[in-house]
Amino acid sequence: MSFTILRVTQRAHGGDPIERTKHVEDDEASIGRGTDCDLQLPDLLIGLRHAVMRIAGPGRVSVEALGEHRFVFQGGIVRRAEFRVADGISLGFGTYILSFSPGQTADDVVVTVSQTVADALVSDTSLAKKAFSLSSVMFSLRTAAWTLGLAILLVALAAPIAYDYLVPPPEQPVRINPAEQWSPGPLSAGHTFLQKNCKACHVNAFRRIPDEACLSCHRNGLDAIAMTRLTERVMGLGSAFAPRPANDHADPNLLRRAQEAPIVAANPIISAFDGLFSHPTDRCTSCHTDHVGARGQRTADLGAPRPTPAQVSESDCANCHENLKAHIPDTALLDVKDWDHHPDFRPLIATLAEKGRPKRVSDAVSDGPFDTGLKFSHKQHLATGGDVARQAAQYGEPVAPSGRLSCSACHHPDNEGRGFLPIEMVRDCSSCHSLQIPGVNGQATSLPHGKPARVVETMVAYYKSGGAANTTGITRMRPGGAFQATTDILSDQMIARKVRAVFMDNTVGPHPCYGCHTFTADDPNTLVFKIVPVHLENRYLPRAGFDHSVPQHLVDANGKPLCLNCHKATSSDSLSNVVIPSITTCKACHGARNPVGKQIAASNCTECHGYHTTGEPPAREVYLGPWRFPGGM
Amino acid sequence: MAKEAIYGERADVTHHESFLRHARLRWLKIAAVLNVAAIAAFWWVFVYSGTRLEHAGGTWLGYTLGTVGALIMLWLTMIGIRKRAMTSGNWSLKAWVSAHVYLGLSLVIIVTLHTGFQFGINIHTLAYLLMLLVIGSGIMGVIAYMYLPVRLSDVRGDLTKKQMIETIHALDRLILQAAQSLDHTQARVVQLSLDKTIIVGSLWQRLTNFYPGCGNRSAVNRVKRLRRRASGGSAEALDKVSGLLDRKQEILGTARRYARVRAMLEAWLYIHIPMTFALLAALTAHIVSVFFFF
Repeated sequence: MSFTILRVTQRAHGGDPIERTKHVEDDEASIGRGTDCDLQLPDLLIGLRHAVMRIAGPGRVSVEALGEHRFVFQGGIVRRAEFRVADGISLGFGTYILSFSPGQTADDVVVTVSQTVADALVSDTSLAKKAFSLSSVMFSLRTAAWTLGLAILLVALAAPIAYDYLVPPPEQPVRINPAEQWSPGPLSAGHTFLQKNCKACHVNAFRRIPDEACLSCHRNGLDAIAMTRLTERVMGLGSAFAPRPANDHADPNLLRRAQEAPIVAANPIISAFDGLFSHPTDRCTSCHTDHVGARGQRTADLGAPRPTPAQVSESDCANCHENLKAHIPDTALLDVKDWDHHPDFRPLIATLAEKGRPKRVSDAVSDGPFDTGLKFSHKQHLATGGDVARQAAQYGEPVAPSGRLSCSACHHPDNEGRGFLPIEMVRDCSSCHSLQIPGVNGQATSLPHGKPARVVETMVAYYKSGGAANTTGITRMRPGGAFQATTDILSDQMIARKVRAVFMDNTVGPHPCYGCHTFTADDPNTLVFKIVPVHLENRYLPRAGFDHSVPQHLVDANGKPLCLNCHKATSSDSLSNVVIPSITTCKACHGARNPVGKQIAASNCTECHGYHTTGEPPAREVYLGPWRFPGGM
Repeated sequence: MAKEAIYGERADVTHHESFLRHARLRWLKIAAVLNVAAIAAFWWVFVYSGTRLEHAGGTWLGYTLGTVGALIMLWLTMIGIRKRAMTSGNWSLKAWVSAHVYLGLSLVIIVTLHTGFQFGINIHTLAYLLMLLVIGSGIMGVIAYMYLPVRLSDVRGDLTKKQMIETIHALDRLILQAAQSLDHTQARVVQLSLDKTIIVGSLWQRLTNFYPGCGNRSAVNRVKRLRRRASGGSAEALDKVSGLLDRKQEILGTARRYARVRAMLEAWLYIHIPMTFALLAALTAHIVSVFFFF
């Protein structure tokens, strides 16, 4: 009975392992760290006397741990084990492995001792040296760099591109669009519903937004059915409002001719980038930009929000208008370089009424004077302390503190803040210039304004009825003249003469109509009259959007409300005299600088002019009701 | 840089000039000129002429600043390739690093002006933030390389890295030998030093030099306690082991101080390099997206 202990040690730098054998001529051998053990295992995890192995029979071995010690047998930690040597069993003691196999003789058992880990204490110092570098404990720089880079490319570049090419434009608002991470900012209030619908505007990749994309919603001149369909489509996409149609600034051909070079080419750097990516003919986006947020935009209850100055890029009016004559010789417009060189105002008057659209081409001053068809004197009406003011006061119309008729007696604010409602005789004049006559049987009746034939009819009926026989003694009605009630039955000839006098003559008796209007008659004896048409210009400067409601626009230098400050109406005795102020009046504030060099009021083009509709400056207030006159006007 | 011989001095001795002061701050001057020009142009376009800041990147100045910034970024990343090739003179690696540092810093101004101060939750601002992260970590790197290499050799003393490790391993062998006669309980305590010693540890342990779980530290303390109770041969062995453990602790201290400096020298790279790649990716997405949805 004997144990042959075979120790196998691997050489540190390769080569054949070192093998040492020891014979224990006994049927029992001790295992432990102690030097007195038959099988010494120099491992501090192993007890000084750890276990004993015995020959337990022919070809059988039993191993028993001593005291509290344990060892590893068939995957378990045990105190005792017995096994057949021929089974090639291995036991674990600390870092050592004891493998049992039959020896050369039947009595002999070979125990091969090997260590599980290559002796940790003889580990490669060259590897250990690397331990000081962070790479031993950190992630791989290269892997991290590539992973991160590729992940960003995938999420922020590949995904949006794939979405753009593979997913068709949505009919309904979508929840997620990977391209949203490209959005440089929120869209304007009117476009919010398109925030996740990039393709609505960005139609073609690597191409500037085409005008067609804008016009698909903002086209002007659609008929009611088309507009309804468009509104339905836009609201289906999530918009809260119908789109606001936009006019062309001018005929596209004119626009092209007006530019010395396309706007985009004005700067070589811009043109280089634009040349790469866009069609220079597209014009909407050369001014309009979005993704700048809704700051400053009006709320939804006023309809589709208008663009704020932040949403319109610097548009250079002078680019075309500085040398417009040179490019379009037949233009009626004068060249304007800037506000300092802005020509004086040219009040325009509609002289050529085309079908449905008056053409405002004539300069009311230099081409005039034009006959407006109405006999009216501002001078007379505004005389201080005159009959007009006295009579107006009597009829409850406002009179200014200076004792003249107030402007607001006749001129009523419009709903846009821009100016005044067109003058209407019945509303604005008739409180003084009454159209009433005593009427048949004393039933006071109004002459229908603007209808000569019916006026003739009414008056003839009145005279024929015997007139004043049934009146209550009124001898003077309020329109501008004595109206002599009569008690006599008049001859037809007499009646005709009296009626004719109302329309055609200011030499005889009362002339309520003739006082203001001019009539024509084909025959001196006829009672058929035609009114010379009245052309009252409500906006003499249709290409600018002067806003009367701006408080500063209604006061004089001392801050006192005064229309006459700008409109020299007190010296105008005919409507042919245009009382539009000159640009000098505006320049007193606009463009003028205060002592510290700051502009008192802005002087950029868009203060007064719009682009799509020249009389609609983008910064103008939006009104829902009439603006108010300050007191004392 | 060779200088004229003064009596008693070698003519070919080279004076160390750091990459920051290379060629009398040539690249600092170039970067400064670039930045002053960028600021002046920005002032002229956006402040004086009153162009609005929204979409400032799409103005002629925005395109210029963006292109210059992107080209500088690409060139800066080339240092990864350049550093693996040795040349000298004006385009020595030192000159290259000097330019890398100053041009890199100049991006803070150039690219910030390119943004027009318009930020949001999008790929564009991500690219900008990544750039700041890369530059910030680069600044950490510059500071590290200014002050730490001296400390690195101070800390190490006469020992090389290899010697430190070998000394520890040699001590381990001695400890193992000395502990053979110890009983099982004592031996297990000593085994802690052999098994559970953390030489330099994780990034956090390296930077803080705090190793609470180190086997040698607990072995040192526990062996000292065991020694108070032991007597005879066991006490003698424990004395010997305790002395060896103390020596090991000293060497470990040196190795860890060294590892700490090394970690500080290298840690910034673990932000700088991955973030550079992330930045290049975000920059690509930024440029492509801007022109994709032109």
